[in-house]
Amino acid sequence: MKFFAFHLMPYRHLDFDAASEYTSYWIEFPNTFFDPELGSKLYQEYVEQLVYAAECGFDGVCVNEHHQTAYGMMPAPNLIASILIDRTRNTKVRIAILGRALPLVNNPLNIAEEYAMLDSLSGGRIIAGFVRGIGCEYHSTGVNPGFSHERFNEAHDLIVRAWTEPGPFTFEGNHYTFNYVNTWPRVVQRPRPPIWIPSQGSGETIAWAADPSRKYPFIITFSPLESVLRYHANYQEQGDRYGYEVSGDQLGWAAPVYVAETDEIARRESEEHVERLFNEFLHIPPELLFPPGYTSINSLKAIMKARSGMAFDRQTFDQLVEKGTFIVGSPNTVREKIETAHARSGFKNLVCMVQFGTLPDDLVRKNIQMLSEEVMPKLRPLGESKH
Amino acid sequence: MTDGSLTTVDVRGFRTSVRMLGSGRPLLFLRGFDVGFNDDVFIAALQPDFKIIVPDHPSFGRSDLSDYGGSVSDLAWFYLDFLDALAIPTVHLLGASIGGWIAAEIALRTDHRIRTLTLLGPAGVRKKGVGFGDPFIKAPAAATAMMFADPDRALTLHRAAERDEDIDLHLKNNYALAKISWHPRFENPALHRWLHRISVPTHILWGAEDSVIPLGHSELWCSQIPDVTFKSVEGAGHLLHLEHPDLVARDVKSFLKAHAQ
Repeated sequence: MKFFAFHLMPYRHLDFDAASEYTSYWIEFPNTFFDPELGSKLYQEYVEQLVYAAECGFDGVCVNEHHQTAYGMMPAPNLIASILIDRTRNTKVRIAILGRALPLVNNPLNIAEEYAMLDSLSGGRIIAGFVRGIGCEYHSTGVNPGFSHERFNEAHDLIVRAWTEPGPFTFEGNHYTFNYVNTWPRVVQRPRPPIWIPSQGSGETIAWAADPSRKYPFIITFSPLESVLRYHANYQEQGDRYGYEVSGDQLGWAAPVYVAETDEIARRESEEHVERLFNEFLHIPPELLFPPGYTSINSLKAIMKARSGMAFDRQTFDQLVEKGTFIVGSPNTVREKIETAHARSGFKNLVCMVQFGTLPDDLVRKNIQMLSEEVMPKLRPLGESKH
Repeated sequence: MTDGSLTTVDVRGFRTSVRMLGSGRPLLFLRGFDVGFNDDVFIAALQPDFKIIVPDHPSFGRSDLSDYGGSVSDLAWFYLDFLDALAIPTVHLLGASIGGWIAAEIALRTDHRIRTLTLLGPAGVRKKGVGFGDPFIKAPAAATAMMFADPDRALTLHRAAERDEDIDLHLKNNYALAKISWHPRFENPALHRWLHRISVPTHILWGAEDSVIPLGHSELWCSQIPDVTFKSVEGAGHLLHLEHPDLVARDVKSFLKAHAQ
């Protein structure tokens, strides 16, 4: 089992009383809620947390991309990644960007170039996450959600070719066409950096990621445990259909994790903060989350029918724990939860959101320390003999 | 005489669903944000002198999904094929909302096929500083309400999508509307430069309280189209022809009558 420390870098100093007038903290939520001085200090705090996680023995540290929201302060995650690369110099710690939102840019070659720079700067330590961006970001950027899938697929093909084929060559697509694809620098990792696909688990994405030409690790994000395991099973079934056995390395689970001395302390210290994440930062009405064309009509209908996802109803600490959306408790409790989940799907990448919602710095650092000292060592052998 | 039932027209192998009503001179009615609303009263009020042709645009309603649905420009070319398929030599064009944008782009591509052009609160042209409303960011009920000056009208005209088939149609229409108008939002940035080439008599009606494509954009249309008349309708929002069907239909008919040959 490999352990990654993941950060959204939320703007945790929000005036929640004043903010409660707004439906969500996305798109039209005024940036006057952001205090530049507090924000500047937050970047330092959050970077130090990830550096600390790397020092404590996490296999990798992860950043991600979100736009125009209090939910995450990394519209340009590669900037943070480059700091982390330097701060983890001479280590083997992976720097995972989970991920860049391919369809939101008009020139995906920029992403190919920046990732290649990061791979070069890090001596081949990056993991390149590819995402579509969440629905809100199609409102924020103006990119047409109706072309989201097409642009994702085309940008992906372009970037992979830019990394793996000698340049210059011509790329002709429907959305992106370039006479000269000739990316300098070239990527260090051969044939290319690992590509991970963080996802909410759409069937189309699973089939695409599991394709034998890709076999991309698939990271289910912030979902109830049963959904995570079902999507893992879907991926494995897809592998069977393609005629190969899916490795545990191809499966990942991203979840908020909190460890403390006892279950009770863990609850006391994390309850308010994790509820802020799910009920405030992640409260997104469907018309913002699913702009027309972002999902297929059938997927949208299924989502609206289920309405059990992350974004619609208030969820209490107890519900989040019961559903397994939030991994929390004493070291023993947390170990057991991870072992139980692992036994059912064999996943080998656990992406731990070590800071969530409003969780303050001292508790984040304690969480990182306890995870690395009391949970990770015993779980590392998981999946190393089978799967 | 046609009775208003749905027929399917084959346009170079592409199945287009069309409602045809009445008899007389052909009047092609192109819709925008009014798709999915009940427009029976307005259509009836346009009678009796026209054969009214109301197609589901490619990728809309019961028409096939198509690459044509990717842009208004494609749709404009498509309707020239559509007229050929129906063997209609000349037509009066009536377009509402995004349908008005499509109609204007058709009129730029041909003048000998078009007798007159009538636009009801058309999208397609941006007068800087006026801005547009954003139905796509609103919850369904609020998006419906913003189409009218009187939000209570919205409730009586909007067919609540309850049956699975209706939900599918509603989503298909919404997806198709977004695909052709999300970006650049509600406009072809070059269109205003070529409006002077619209050579047919043109009549523009606009809801004075349109909060989707506000009245201020009408200035650009009226200053560029050579042979144009204009009227704003008080107490009407974006879907003025649904909010005041008799008044709008009467006005449209009187314009068409003045240009009947």
